Amino acid sequence: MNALLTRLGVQVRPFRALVRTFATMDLRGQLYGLSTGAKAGELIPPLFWVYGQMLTVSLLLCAALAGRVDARFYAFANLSVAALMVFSAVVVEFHEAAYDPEDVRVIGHRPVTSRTWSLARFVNLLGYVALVGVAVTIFPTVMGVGLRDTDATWVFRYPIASVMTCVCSASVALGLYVLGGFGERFDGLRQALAWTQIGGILALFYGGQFMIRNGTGSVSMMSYDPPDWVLNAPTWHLAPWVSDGAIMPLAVAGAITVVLAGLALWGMQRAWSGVATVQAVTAKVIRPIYAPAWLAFFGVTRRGRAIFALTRALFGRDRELRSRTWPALGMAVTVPMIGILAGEYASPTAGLTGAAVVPIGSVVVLCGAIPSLLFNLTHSRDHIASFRLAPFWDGDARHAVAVAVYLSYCLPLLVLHGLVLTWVWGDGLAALSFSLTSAVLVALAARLCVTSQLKGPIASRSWRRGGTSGSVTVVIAGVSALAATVGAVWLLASASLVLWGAFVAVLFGALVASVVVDRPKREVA
Amino acid sequence: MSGIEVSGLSHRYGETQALSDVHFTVPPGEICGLLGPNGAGKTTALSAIVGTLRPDAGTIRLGGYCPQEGLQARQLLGYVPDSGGLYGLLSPREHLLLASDLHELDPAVAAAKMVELVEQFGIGAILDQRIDTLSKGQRQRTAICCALLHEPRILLLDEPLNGLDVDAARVLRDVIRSAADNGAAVLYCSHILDVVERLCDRAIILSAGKVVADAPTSELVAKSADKTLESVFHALTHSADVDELSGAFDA
Repeated sequence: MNALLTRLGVQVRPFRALVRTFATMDLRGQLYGLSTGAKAGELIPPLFWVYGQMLTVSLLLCAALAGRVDARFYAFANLSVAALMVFSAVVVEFHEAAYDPEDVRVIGHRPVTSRTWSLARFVNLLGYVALVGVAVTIFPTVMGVGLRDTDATWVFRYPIASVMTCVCSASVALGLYVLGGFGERFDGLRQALAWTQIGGILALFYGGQFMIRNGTGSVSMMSYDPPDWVLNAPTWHLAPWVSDGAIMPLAVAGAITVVLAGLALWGMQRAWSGVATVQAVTAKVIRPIYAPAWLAFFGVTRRGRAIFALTRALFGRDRELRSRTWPALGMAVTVPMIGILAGEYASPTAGLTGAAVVPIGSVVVLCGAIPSLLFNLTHSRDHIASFRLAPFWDGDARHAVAVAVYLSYCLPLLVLHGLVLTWVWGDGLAALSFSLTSAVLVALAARLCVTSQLKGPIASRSWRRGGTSGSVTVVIAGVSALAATVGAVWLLASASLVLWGAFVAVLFGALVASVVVDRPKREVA
Repeated sequence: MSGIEVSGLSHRYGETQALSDVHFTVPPGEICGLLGPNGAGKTTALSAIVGTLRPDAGTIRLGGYCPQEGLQARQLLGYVPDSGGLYGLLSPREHLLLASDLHELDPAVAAAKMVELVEQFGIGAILDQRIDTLSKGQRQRTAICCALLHEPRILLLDEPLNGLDVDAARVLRDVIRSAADNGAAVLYCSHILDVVERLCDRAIILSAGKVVADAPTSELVAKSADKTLESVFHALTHSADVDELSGAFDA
């Protein structure tokens, strides 16, 4: 091994030291959730989320395809999803394993070649790829043996193909990261992929249940007569190795894997030379953010306006915070899209049908996204925002932050949703009444979230400052359950104008009451 | 072997000229202070010297080697950055071992040196604590030990007294003097002028990216009205016309 590394021009001892250091830091870092100030029992680290997500998607896909398609299509579908999941995981989560900005400050002046550093970082990334690779390989391997046209050799053929697919996919993701200079240009891709991932998962859920319900066997037909896009996919050409043991696809895939990994490594080496020698950046002139006086209409005090402006600035300028915000809202965008495309997005005023549940469901999903947005902003140790806002944390601040979240993200989405409803339903009045009710319900959900940060048996643990996002799932569950219950009442109340009016009045009353209750007591001179 | 040689160093950030035709040398055995007001270009100069910033123009030689080419210059270099320079998730012991491995030091020699530095700077009690849980002074001590472990021939220190208590500051001054006596070239960047006055053999003052004074500390002090480096610094760095003053205090 040492001889091989030396032949590759890698400094053996520094390489081993760096690999050991990166692995040590990973085990102590936030991905494994063992950082200071967090007890293992209180959180669900990001790595577990990613791992669970991959296992779930893989299981659903296997369950949906098993018995319906032949071995080649089964292998193709699973390898393709594995490639997409690994690509997305590297871009969205694990790019941190490939490059840490601290590296420049800590080892930039040490006698380490860029080749040594890049190989150490690449090996570090491959550790994560191996972990997620196992997650997307277990179910297709185990369930694939049971297909009617496979034999026992599937047990080693599929994992080999899966390893190659995962390494290729990770190498391509790494290549894009490197082309983006490890920096800002990469963020757009990260956000786009985070959205795509959510959309893909929802489509898979919907597609899965569609296939189970579908009596025409359209998926089976597609596997026997694949469309052109399937025939052109690289994983389709690798699948014969898995299904029939064909050697040529394996050899070609092996060569491609080596080339792609080599290119990614070469790119990292060049990029390291770039980042390690250009450390300083030119100061930027940025536009100040003010809080307008009309915020008083939303019950924001003068002091609260300063908090509002600070919150808007943090949302606008903290790229990491933004990149965690969009995925939380992704569900609220994807549910209406799927509902509309499936033709199941009817107005609740048109009658108590299953299709009328989906629009209300999309509003409930938006309510469920608010705790994550607030947690990232006010309590997460991963974002500087929570530390900036901590010293001002009282009723005024809580309300201002809730209003900032509402006006920055929720209201624009609701307005857009209202326009879409007008177009889909062809009934402006129904769309308007629906949007008004949504606006009040979502505002109430935002208020409920900030009010739940007051001392309480569950809330005090869930909103503990400095935790990871795992703890806030309790609040997400609570808010979602409550919003779903209110949504059910809304559906029933939509049958009559009087009932609907009473329903909105009660919601609005609860909203005003929640603001008044949380007001800090003013000292009387 | 030569020490630090900087010639024609220039660098620009957008519209801002951070360094403009900077020349100086620090021979082996000398402690040279690098002074200047905020934004004068000190950190840019240090970044270029350690090789983490590629300047627009100029050449840099450390012990005769260019820091941008090959590893020889970096083998000779010990650097204490202004802040950071340590992985927060490691312990001081792990960091020292990392530094030892990156410089490929003989394990026995490195272990002996480590014991010596740990004792000198009093970090024995915190050796296995995570760096992100340490105080600023403890981190600074750790950074200094990591920089000195391989007995560098070129020593660059950017505000090394930041966060250090009286005892540690005294130890550091002794260590720096001892390193220079053993032939190391030391570039000491600081805002604490009385320390520079006592410790440094020579001082370079930067203002608006230009060298406005480069002379033995004693001569600079002797030429000022109240015999302090502070008044020299004030006179040189508060002038509107840096070019006019440049060289006025040269030896």
